[in-house]
Amino acid sequence: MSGNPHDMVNDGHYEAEAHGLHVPHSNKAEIWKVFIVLFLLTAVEFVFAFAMEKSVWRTVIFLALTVFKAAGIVAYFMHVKHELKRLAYSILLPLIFIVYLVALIIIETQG
Amino acid sequence: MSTEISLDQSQTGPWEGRKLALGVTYGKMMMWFFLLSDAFTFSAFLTGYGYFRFISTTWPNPEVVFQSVPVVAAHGAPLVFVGIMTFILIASSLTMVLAVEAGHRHDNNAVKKFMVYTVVGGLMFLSCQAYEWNHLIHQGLKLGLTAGDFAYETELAEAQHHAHHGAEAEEAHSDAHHAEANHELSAEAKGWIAERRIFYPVVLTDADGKEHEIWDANTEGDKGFELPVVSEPILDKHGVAYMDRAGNYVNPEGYEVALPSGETTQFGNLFFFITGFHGFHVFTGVLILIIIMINVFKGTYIKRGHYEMVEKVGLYWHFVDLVWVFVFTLFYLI
Repeated sequence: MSGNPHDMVNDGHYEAEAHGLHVPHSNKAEIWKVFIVLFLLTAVEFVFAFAMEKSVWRTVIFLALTVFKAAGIVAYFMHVKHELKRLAYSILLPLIFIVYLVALIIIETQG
Repeated sequence: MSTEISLDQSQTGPWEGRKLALGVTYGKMMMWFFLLSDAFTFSAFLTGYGYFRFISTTWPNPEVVFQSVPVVAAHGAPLVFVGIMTFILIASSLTMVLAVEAGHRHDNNAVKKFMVYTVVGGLMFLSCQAYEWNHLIHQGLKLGLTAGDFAYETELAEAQHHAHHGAEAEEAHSDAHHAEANHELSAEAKGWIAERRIFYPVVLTDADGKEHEIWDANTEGDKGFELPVVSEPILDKHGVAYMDRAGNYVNPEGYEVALPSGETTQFGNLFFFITGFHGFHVFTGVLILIIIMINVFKGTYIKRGHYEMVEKVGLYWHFVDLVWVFVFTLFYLI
């Protein structure tokens, strides 16, 4: 281990590993797979943008694809899927407030 | 060994800090909580955008606003340039996560390579955004006050100016039928302006003297307020074509009082503010990436024994990409 006490304090990640705690590890095949999926979903969005007339359903499709892409980025690129459950939930559960905010705004615009 | 023990002891007090929080280092946990708070901020902005867009009866059509690609096409290529920008950002997210993966393998050379790719991707995205802003500003898209922001007098003067201006324009056409048109605001319209809120139906007269009830979207949506539908897009003075909710092109000059360029200005406000705030994140992200990249080149993380700093800046960078996914859909696609 490094002799610098400061480094040792900041070394929790690898110390956690040494103590048998879960540490997220990534693998290249998964990363490329997620990238290709994100790329294809964006391509699908473009197909809908040009091939489909503007409508409520098109907007719903766009929003669904967007949420799907966002979930992919958070789960795989940001490693939340492989993260400790307590950290993952302390990040994901507060997002319910965003759902609440969106619901409030929709209600507001209905007047 | 003795240092380790004394270090452990020094960390037992309530204010001394501990090595781990929620199973990860404090640095990583706080990066996550910062990103969470940033997610709330962006949600507030984007739902605010959604609110204004939803209550507006017309809105600039993104396929008309964003139809230029530098060098290749001044117009007629809708969404192509933003597609390139989106690809650049997703690709830089890929190289970022590959840098993190290389860090887990302690492969310093691979980390170097992927950090450089990521910084280049970030700079390319920023350049594209600078071009796009420059282009839109030259097209006349700008920040500005909208009708709701004006004080009573200004608002009244504005409305009367529009009515008057409309009359002059019609007279210039020397159309006898139009020349007789009554462009005075009705008493109810003045009442509306006095209220400074559009919560009541307003009756306005158009060039043909026909009365139109105009409802604020807060009450009955756009009931009673329809702009004339046209087959070809008509650009207003900002080079923006308007569409109604059904997706038909409408004539923005249909009647001036009903439609000052408020929606275009509101679109400009929201577009520049939100993409600007995102661009600021990209900019700071690139700065932090460069700092970490310098450390990687200096071998700081070989000495430290781990690449957690790369992982943390990676989280920030993916978040920037994440926000762009939403901005892309909400501003450019919908």
